[in-house]
Amino acid sequence: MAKAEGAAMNDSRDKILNDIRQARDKAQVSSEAIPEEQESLPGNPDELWPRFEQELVRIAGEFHILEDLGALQALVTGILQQLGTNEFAVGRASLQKALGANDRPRPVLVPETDPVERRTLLDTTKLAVSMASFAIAETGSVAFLYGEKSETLSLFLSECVILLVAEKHIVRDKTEFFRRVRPGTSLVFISGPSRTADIEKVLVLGAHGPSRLVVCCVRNALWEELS
Amino acid sequence: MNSQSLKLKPLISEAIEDPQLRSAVRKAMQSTRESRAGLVAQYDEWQHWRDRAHAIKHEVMNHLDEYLEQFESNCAKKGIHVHWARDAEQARQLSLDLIKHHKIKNIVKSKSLTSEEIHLNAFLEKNGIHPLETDLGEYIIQLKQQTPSHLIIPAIHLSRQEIGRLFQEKLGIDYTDDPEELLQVARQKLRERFLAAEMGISGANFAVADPGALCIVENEANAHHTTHLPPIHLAILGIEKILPDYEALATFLRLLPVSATSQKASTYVNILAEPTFERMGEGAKEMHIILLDNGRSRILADPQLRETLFCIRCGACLNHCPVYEHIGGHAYGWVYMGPIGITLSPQFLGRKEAKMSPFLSSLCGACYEVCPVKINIPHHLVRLRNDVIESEANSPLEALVIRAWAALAQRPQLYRMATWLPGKAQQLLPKDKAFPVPGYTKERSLGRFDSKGFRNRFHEWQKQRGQQ
Repeated sequence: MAKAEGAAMNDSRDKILNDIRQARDKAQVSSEAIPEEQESLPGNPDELWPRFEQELVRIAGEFHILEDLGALQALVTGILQQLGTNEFAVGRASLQKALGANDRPRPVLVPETDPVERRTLLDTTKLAVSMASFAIAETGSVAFLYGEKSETLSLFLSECVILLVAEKHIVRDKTEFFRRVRPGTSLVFISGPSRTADIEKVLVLGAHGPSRLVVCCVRNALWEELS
Repeated sequence: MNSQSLKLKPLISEAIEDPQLRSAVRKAMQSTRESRAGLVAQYDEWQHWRDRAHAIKHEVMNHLDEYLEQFESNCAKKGIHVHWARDAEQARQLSLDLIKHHKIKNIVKSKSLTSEEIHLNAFLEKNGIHPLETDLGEYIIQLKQQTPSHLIIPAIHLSRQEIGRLFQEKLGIDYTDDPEELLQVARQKLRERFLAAEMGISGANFAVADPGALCIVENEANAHHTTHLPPIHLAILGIEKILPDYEALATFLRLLPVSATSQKASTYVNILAEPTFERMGEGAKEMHIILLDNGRSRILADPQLRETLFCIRCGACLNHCPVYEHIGGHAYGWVYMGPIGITLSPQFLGRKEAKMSPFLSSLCGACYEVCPVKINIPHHLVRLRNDVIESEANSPLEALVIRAWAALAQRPQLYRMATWLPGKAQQLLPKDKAFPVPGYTKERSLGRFDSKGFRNRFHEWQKQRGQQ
């Protein structure tokens, strides 16, 4: 059965490709030069972060600059109080260590949770903290590359997400990101909390993903400490 | 070729006679146009991006076989299974075979126009499988057992009150018409299904040949759940979705959200380059992609009409179309609606089967002005209208009237008489009435003929100018 199915598949593949080649020969359309991509923003990081903040806030995200570990701890504590919980999840062991405190349970380290239990755990998690790859100034987006030990479920199942980005890891736009990073793995760009306008075009946040997104620009020294 | 034949007149009449539908669509389209215009005005580079996108698509269509083979090869290296479907039937069967092979019962789906093109849901339902739509608009439409009425906002024709009553009836909740409360109900119901799903079926906005990845753009996070929570992910997409590389993708990721939803960036851009479960403990264990032809290679053979394959399904043409604003999406009778829909339906379904479609346009050109990939829709519609006429799909009466007019137009004396006569004859009618024309004046007025006629008025004007 599998052999027959494979043969049929190759027939379809060959037919489609032959049809395409014949179509090209019949149409005889000449080539067109492709205009190069233009750069839309200045490349100075001092100008990029303010632009990033402006765009992120416009799409209902929140922005902070974290000078040191104390600032990160205070931010997390404050948000936990707002959410009325003291339990949360983190994406890296360094965050688990940095954000542990005596007056609350140790945060769950997501990559070390059982894959089967992970989704149920995160479904009820109100806050997740993770480290992202790059900030994209033009659109207020954050790029998250799927690394060896990374996870994404917490970024999508939790109610509130804090994403940390290194101060030095900011680019103008996605064109610069792709040129600089050349990703070979899966990735996701996140631009604000989840939303929908499917009912009478009324915009509502918190569709199937988080209803709150906080992005923190982390000073380079703190980033080295957390990495 | 699809054997479906479109019977549009009853659908159009039904739409025209529905004031709630027309009001809802008109309001939504007006606000969408304003938002998009405001955003486009912020970009000096907008026309440059359009030119670049058009050229990229042109290049891809000229080398589509090479890019598809490159895509397949790069995907295979990473363990992604790539399947090829000549037509809708084969795509449906491939999907069913995969479902049966894995003994899957619980399926969630994110928005996929391609899956609607091939009538996948109905086919699976006939085989005892019930895929659940998870995009909020598609979920609403599925509950109501309707088809989408817009490419991007499927339930735009429904009021919040109708949706509230629908949820009350189908989901057993207390009535509410508050969009936030309705969303929370859907979120909870769908979250349970996401966590239990065995397969996620999606489409894709783009397929990137290098390095072999799918790109799915969304705002709700349902597509991320659909492609990451179940162990099996199946994506179905047309062969025209291919882009060469990430640099090309970056341009389209600018154009699509602005054109579709008036956003600088969609909330989530998922780029799926591999099944990730083995490595990360989450994501799909198996990833399958069906590349669908279903008539696209035939369209590719036409040096002009192949441009209609450039479409990125943003819906901008619908949002600016005066015809769509009056009749909504259901009146087009097929999954692809509005200006791009009426260029595609005769090509996919046949000139005779979709003979009315190319005529559902005023040829105003607004669609061409806003199309992010610069598809010259009005030009293609004129060509398709010619095709319909030449296929003798128009009515014999219409053909007779056109031949009669052509005969008169070549005989100036007869033409003058023919245009003079109605102007005089209408004096027999009441002053506010015009001649009835069977079929034409049922929903519109012909208007009264000018009493003097253009020729006489023009001679008078020339005389006056001469005297000046």
